[in-house]
Amino acid sequence: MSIPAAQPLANVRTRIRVNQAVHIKRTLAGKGQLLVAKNVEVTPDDIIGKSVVSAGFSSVNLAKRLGVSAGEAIKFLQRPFGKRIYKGELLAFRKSFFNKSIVTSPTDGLIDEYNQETGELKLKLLPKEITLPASVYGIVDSVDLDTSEVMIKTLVTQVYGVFGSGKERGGILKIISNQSSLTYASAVNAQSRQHILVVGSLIYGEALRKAVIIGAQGIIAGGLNASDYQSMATSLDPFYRVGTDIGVSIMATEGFGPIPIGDDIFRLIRTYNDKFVFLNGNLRQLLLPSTSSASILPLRKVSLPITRKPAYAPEEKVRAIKVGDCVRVIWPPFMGIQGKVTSIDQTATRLASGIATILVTVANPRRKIKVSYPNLEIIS
Amino acid sequence: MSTLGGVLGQFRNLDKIPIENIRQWLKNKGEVHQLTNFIGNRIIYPQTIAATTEDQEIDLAILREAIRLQPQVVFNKLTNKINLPTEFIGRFPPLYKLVMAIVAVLNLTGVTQIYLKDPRQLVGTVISTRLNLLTGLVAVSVNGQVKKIPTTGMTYLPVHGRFVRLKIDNGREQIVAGGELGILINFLK
Repeated sequence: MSIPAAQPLANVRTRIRVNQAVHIKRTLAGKGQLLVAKNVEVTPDDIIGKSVVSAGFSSVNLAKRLGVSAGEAIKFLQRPFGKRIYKGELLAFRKSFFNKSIVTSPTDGLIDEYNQETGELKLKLLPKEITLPASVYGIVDSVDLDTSEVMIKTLVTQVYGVFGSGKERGGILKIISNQSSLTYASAVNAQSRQHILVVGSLIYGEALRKAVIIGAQGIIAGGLNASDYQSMATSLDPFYRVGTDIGVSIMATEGFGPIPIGDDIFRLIRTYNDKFVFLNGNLRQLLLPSTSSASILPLRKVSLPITRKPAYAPEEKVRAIKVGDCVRVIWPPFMGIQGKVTSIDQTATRLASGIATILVTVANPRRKIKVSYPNLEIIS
Repeated sequence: MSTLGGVLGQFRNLDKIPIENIRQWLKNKGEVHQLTNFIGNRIIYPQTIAATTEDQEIDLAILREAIRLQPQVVFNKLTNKINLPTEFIGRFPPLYKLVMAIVAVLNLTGVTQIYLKDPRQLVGTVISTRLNLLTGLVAVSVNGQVKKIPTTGMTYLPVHGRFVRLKIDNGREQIVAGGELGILINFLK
């Protein structure tokens, strides 16, 4: 078969970028106080803000519990409205000829209001004080008292997947399965709350929904089922993608369907297990802040403009595949496998599909395979 | 430099094609979620090619339905010509199967010439006709030679001459272009 005139071209995809100076935004929940000023150097454990948030309401049906009508139950309340009460303390008491009824408070709170028609007593849960840690080594670049936001300049490693959904969220990274596992709903539990979960080759839709309910901050998987992704992102086509958010940030590192997380990314994120990271699904970007206090030194010399312009993922480039390139396979068989190019055929081979193409030999410590060059991406 | 696109990358909204429209073309229907994942990966990696006959069958089904949604990519309605980008042929060989797949979803009438782009080259003709015949076969005369062909679906005649005398059943003889592809007779229902 004759040699095709064109060189074997492939997309160059940036998957990992180390030592990037970026701005991390830390936002206070609720009304409160920011405790840092511009140009202050911070460490991960430094508290940069404090706020008080209301945790919501609880209710008790006094009438039912006391065995009286809704109109009468209020007479047996033992604490005035607006007063504080703690869990287990006496809320209402009624003594009759035959027995006595005791109602205790189910939670800490303030006695808020009573509904004369339903007999429901509403308790306002006690406000909680929340602290905001810096979570990174860095330098404060701006403090906005109106929006309660602090922008910290910090050094990170950026990891890019192939698609995702969700705004930027921070949380403790937790690897809950190995690189190639399938993740069911049972793997997501109460401990997943506030965490960014690394779930293996695929997370099922049911597990995704459970993660949202439980309050997980993010999910990183090798792949997602296309139907699950389409329901959260509206379109699979990157051309039509707009930012979406379903309550959790999600990033797929490889493609659709069960595909193990690539060796390059998994090797890196394993070193960040139980560390604070940031995931932006809409940018398909994971930020791994430097864990070294020495990272502040180069930041002192870096000036980073603060911009309201939305960030974007790095664009892919195109070039000819060369021997020695690190590549990943982007189509079956062997989809997801990474290795180095050891040789490029000089003549075309006709595949079982009938297509004539140039085959490239890709080797890694576990195997050596031949792949048609359009089914490769160069990794940078 | 822009990223590599591939043949299917020229079509938008592949994820909006009803999955049953694609499955109807497949011998092995497979699981719906596997097919939607396949289509999803084609959208994000449009430059990739099928390694197996099964994958190629799915790709051809996707191409058919994509052309049904966006016929203007290959068909000029005003001039009644099919213009095939060169990369389509390398991606979906052989040529006659590709043309048959495309013709199946275009509502062609009469005589439609088929061209390749880059360089522009006339490679064949599609004759779309309707017959009122009770028998399953009809006589077709090609340059004076008569053969019998089925009266349903499409029949491919590898006739490579530049000018071909063609007569279907008792119709009048007409001169049509053969070429690298030849002639496709498309019997309409």
